[in-house]
Amino acid sequence: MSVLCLLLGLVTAVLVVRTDLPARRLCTVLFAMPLAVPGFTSAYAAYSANLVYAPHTRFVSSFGGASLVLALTLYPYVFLSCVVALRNVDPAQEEMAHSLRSRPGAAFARVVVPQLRPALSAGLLIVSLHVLAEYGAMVQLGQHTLTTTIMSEMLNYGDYRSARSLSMLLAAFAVMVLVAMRMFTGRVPPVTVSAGSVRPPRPRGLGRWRPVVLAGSLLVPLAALGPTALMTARGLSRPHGEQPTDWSAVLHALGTTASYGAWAALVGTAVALPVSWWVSRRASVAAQVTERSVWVAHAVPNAILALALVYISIRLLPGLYKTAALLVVAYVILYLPLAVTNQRVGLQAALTKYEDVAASLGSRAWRTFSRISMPLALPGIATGALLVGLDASKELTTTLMLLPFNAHTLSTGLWATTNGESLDFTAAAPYALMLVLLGSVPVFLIVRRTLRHVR
Amino acid sequence: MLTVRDLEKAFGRGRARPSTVTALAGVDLDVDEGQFATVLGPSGCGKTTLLRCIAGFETPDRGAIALAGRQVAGSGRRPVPAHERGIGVVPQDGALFPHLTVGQNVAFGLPRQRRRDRSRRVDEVLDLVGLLGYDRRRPHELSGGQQQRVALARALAPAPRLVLLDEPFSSLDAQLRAALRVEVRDLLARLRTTTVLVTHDQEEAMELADRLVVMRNGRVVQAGTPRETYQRPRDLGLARFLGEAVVVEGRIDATRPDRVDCVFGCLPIGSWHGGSGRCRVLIRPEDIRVQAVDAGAEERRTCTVTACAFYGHDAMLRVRVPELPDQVHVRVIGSRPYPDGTPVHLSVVHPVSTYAD
Repeated sequence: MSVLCLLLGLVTAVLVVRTDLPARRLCTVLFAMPLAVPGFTSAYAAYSANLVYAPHTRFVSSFGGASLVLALTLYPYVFLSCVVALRNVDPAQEEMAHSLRSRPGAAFARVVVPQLRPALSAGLLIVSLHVLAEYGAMVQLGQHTLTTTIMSEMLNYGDYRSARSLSMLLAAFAVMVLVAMRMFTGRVPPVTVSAGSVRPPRPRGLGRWRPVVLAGSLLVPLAALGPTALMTARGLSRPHGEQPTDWSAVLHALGTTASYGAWAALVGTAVALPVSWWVSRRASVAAQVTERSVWVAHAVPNAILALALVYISIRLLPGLYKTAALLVVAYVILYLPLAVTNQRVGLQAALTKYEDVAASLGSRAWRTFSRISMPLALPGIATGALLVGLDASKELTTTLMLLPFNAHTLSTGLWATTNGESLDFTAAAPYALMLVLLGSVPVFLIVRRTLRHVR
Repeated sequence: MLTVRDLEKAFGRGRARPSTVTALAGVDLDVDEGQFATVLGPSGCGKTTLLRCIAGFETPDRGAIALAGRQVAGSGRRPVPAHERGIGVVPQDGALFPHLTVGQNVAFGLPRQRRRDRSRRVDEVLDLVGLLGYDRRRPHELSGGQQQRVALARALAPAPRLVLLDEPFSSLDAQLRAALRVEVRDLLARLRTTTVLVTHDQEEAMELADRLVVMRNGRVVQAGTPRETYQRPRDLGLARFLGEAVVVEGRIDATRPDRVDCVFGCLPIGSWHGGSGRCRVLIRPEDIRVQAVDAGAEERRTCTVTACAFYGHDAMLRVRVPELPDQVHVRVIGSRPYPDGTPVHLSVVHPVSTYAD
């Protein structure tokens, strides 16, 4: 499953960066678009599409089918980090490999791919943790995982005790993934951003294969987005009349989701900034431990985190339980690593040499930070904030457990319509549409930033 | 103006290996007001660390730095932070702030004042470096040489007491480098700005310096005028680092301590750095005269030209001397050809330096 993500992400990234694929900018946006669709939405859409168009097969609910559906929704994480990394690889190194009699394919495999390892492993890490923690999609696809069991124990039977012990197991598993990843990648060297002397790579001509490759590669986003688009369109065009769509409720949910997402992005950025500053400027043991502990929080599946927050708030701060503030706290803890990693890349672009020069010109620390480091790090900081906002608005599990009474977000609204095994997409369609539209905005912005700053 | 005393700085190698690398092992440095000092040394000798300590980017482990009589680092007190030292810095690659225009870069270090005064000062220093009218450009639109000029203008704008240049010309091509460094030296001399330049290029160091400071392994080996240092280096390693050197064995007779006997005859000693009896003699290639020997003449001791590296203005001959195991380098005027195999006679025309064997 993760391997599939890796392949999809790497191949699409190579196509976009290194070949003369037509309309490469548009393709980049398209390849990244599945990021806008929550896993459970596309899972549900795939499941319904399967039922509607091929009722006799159960492909989507098989292990392989479910893996494919999930891989198609998660590969953009790998894709985006690979695009950035690929563009930063100095083509001169590949030319050297050619001059040392390495054939093009071999040169790529031996020189470029190893340099993508940090990007690949970071993407892989995010993907694996997502799979571990995924609840909605797994339920839709009829897969039983630890997370789904915990959730059903809790939601259906109110059995917090067994949920707790299962959670321990899940958390241990997640930490194991994290540790294994560290061992696999070794010590990932710090990302060095060169002084801009790196030439952009020359795209490789695809020749007469161009249309074929284009069609083939477009299959990926098509397969990822297709079912959702199809089912949404179907649902919208054939209202069943029993329940006219309550657009005001949908719009209200949209507003709630957007504001939660914005708050999560804002608070997450503010919390992450000191952490990433510390991590990128001080190479101390404490800084490294801090960075890893942020990831451990990410490794703990959101169901467990939500559970923990429920427990803490009920026991210690009953006033906070089921408030929007607590929900935002949960989002921030969950998606802090996304903010920290992106901010770190940004802060590394704001090299210490600029800070030194600013100090020599009589600039105090705060002025140096606000006028030199911050502006230079802005692309990374913005990308981090967008990702946090995006993931927060897609998040289902935590939202279900911590949502304030009487509040609805797009994802819980969608979930409410689908949960009763009602198989028409009519009621869900407006929510799905809004979710995808809302998600497209940050995705589009992220892709644009990616393309602009890594020329 | 600038006084550095017994400066020490070591870097840890990270937590895996707690061993340390000594960058500075007791450095002394004195630069007078208005002087242009160059610190010369091979890469890794600690010269950049010295510069960073002076600028305030690094805190020395021991020793003291004083600027115009005021101590800025050392002896237990908290070091004065970089932004309060008033020292201009031009790093190797310029490090222009990429998100600001040229004008904003130059204005960055100026105190808060009226906009008109600021832009007048920006124009003034840009004019100094020959880039008046470039203030709206962005750093990436400039060539390497222009970027370095802007970096210099930015450092000069707040009128610093001291300017530090960290190999500022090393990324430029040879011709531009030579032209720009003379220009910068003249400019700084005109402004009477005290300057410390760090470089590994001995030609650059000698050309620019009022005072040449040579560093090796975290220590200052010798400091003085370029001429003095070149002609009277303290040891043979330094002699070889500063330029081509011919080293032959010699013998000093106790009865005539001002002369040394060697393969080139009995030569006057210009500077003596140890050695009595057997010693080593340093001769610069340009201090050797070449005389053509008539082909027919019976010459008992004939040297032969084996190779000639032609530089245009001059040429470096490789000459085989029968008594010596190694060939000898001799600098000659470029206009006269010396085909391989030419028999020549060599004589030394300048006092030599001697070193203990």
